[in-house]
Amino acid sequence: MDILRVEEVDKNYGALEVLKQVSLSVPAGCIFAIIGPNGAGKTTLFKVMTGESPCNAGNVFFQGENVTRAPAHWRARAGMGRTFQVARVFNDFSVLENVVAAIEARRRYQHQPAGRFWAVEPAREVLAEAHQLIADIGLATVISHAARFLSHGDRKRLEFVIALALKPRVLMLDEPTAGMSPADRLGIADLILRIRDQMGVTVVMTEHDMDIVFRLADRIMVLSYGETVACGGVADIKGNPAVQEVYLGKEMNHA
Amino acid sequence: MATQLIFAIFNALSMGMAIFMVAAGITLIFGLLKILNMAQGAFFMIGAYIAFSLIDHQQLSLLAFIGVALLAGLGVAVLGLLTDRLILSRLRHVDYHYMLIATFALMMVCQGAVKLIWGVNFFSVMPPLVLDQPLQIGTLFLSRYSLFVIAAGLVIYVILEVAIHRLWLGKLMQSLASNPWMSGLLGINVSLGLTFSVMFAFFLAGLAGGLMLPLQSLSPQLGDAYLLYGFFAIIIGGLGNVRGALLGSILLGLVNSLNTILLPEWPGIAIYVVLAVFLFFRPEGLFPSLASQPQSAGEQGSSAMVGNKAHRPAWMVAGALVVVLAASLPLWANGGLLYVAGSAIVYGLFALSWNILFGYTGLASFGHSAFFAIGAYFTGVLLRDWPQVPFLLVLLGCAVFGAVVACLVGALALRRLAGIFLAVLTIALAEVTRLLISYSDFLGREDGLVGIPRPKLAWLGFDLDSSAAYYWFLLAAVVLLVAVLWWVLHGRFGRLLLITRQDPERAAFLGVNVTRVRTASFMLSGAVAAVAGGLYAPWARIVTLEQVSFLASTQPVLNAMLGGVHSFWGPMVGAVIFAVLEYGTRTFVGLSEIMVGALLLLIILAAPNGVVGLWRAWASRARTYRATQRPRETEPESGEPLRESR
Repeated sequence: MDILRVEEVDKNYGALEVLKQVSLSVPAGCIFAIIGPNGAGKTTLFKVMTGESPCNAGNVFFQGENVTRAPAHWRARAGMGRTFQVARVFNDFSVLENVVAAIEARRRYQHQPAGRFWAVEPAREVLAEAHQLIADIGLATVISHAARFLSHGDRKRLEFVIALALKPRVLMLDEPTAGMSPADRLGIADLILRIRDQMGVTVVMTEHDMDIVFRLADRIMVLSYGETVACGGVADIKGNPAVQEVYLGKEMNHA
Repeated sequence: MATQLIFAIFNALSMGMAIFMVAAGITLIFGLLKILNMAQGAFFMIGAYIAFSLIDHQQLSLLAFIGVALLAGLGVAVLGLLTDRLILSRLRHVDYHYMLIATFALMMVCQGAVKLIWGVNFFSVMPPLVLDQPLQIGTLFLSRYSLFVIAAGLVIYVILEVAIHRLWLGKLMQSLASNPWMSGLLGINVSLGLTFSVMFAFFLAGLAGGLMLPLQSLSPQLGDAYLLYGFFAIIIGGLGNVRGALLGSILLGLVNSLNTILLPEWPGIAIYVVLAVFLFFRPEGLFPSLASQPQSAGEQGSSAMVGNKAHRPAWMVAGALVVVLAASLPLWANGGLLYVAGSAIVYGLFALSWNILFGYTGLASFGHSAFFAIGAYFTGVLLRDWPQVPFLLVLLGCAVFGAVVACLVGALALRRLAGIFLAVLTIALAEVTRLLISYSDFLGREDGLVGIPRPKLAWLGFDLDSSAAYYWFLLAAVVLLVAVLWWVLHGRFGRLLLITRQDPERAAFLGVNVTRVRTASFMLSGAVAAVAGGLYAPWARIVTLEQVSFLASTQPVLNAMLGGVHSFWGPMVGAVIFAVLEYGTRTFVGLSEIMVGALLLLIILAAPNGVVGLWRAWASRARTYRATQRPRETEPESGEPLRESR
């Protein structure tokens, strides 16, 4: 079943048409990558899917429900986690407090017990869950550090933990490896694979680094000037002349 | 009928243009700096006073009059230069709330200064010679002077439109408004450009003050009404654009004109109703501009208010000592000191209620005195006229009343652009509360409620009639409330508030309904403020309109900032320090506004984290020093500077 489906979405900023009749569907359990040159509309499409900005026409379906007009917190509650291009975490909180806050947020809307309401400390099961998540992702050594002092890569990881603490069905990643060193990139790529394989989370990502995309993605969609150029498996995209044209330009002697 | 209609429209236009002249300056500064200049009304007033001093009871020719207005504008522009260099330029890179509070403080300083220089008497000035007589058209008599104001407003509008969209100056301003950093890269002197633009906006305020001087009697309250109407006009018109400000102003003029015809006994109420309706149905204004897109707050917060537990026992002992000391006061202190102490306790609670909103949720209320007054008047009326109602029930009623009002205001203000709308709407709330009280006989109109009796706790057998008895009740009640709040704010709810303060968008993507959390926080804050007011009424035994003034609204802001907004105890500490200061300087009557405003400015510029922040910084330095003296024993953690005890 398609877990996330976009149907004929239009988006314009004033007279500028950024998305023209874009459609896509993401099967559950796959890693879906949206690629395209700068200005292709990747981030805008991403914003439409996450509810950050509304689209002018078309519909977004999440797990069969129309969420086109649903606000961000509603989508998060329905099981859509996300990260930002520049990692956004709660800077004043320690790593542990960041994760605890996220778990408590989830337990609140899922009406799960999160400790007695008068308790000042987080409930024991919340803390246990937080420690587990933090250890899994390899942030245990910095667990009590304030988030603002973390390195770039650790902030990114912390953002992953926060998003995963919601136990999402779909994880939306906006350029997860932007501005990272090659070693960190590989680490993040492994992490994404692990998230999908071990937790069964569907991943939708935009990405510039083709190595990462071809390594991870099951399906790839290529956008150019707000239109879908191609959509398919890695092999289809690699051999597709239209995609090469988008990235490399038309060959002059060919014309 | 037709005459009446024309006359009403004429009045509407003349009032609308008057509002526009103030609103234009506000909207320019908003477009540039993304803040509402709360001091714009005060500088309008200063312009009027400068013009008044220049004219000095003579009747001038039209040209001389315009010259005087221009001079007044220049005078205020020079003040704008000072303001920008000394205050605004230093606050450009911090959370916009600090700039809002700074301009609010500046407004207080201006009002105090005007009172000192020109006194509190009303003055009036004759219009220039040519404009003195009314103009007769058929049976219609129109004031030539009002016509002149309308014309002046239109001329200013045209000049602004042309300057902003056609001239070099306007293009400079637009580039600074849209991206100061980029403008700097392109070789524009950003600092100079912003200063110049701010001066221009201040010039407009001063010019308007001069031009409209003959329209009204001059008093230190002159700026307040224009400031509010100016805010409303740009909210209705759309923040940050001149055309919206013009249309919004004219609309307000029309509404007010209709108000006087249809509801003569309730002057000035309709404007608030229209504002509420507008905010509900079209919160983005008539001409929404890019400048009004919500922005994420800057990185001002320096502590998460989740202290470590190592020092807790020591602090608990210290707290117990403070409570014992406070409880022993009635045994040895004189009546005056006891009164100050009781008031300080109430104001501490009041400041704490404000900081629930600011320090924990990242929203600032500038009319918190409204909640305090609601509680105080509610309690005062019940104690005077229905003494049989149990006092604890009355206090509960205060809390419910405050929470309901906060819920209504929150429903309007917290939908979009939360910070800025809340700032304006809370000011409006204080003003509406003041108006309604001054229209109500059973609330004592302008005179206030006097001779409020102290309550009896019948079923506990306590009579709280003596000052000492009520003081002890006050202390016990506040200690209990603070304990409950400490619990609430340090648990799950506190963490929820703190994540919405730090990054509302991130929190939303964690499934947090940000609007609801903010409304809940505002309701809690309003309820606590109302209870503080309810406790205050029988203590002071008199409640007056002063409790709803700007000065009263500044009190919790000042106390919280003084103590430190990034600490739970900061507001209480600030209230005590301020009470001591006030008690020490109680002989200097009339300086209160200047003192309060200047102190607030000083804190924001020099120590934005307040006394508690200074203490933490000192303690952290001392610890680092000790750690470097004995490097083998303890290894300083990199996260340590933030995790201070309270």
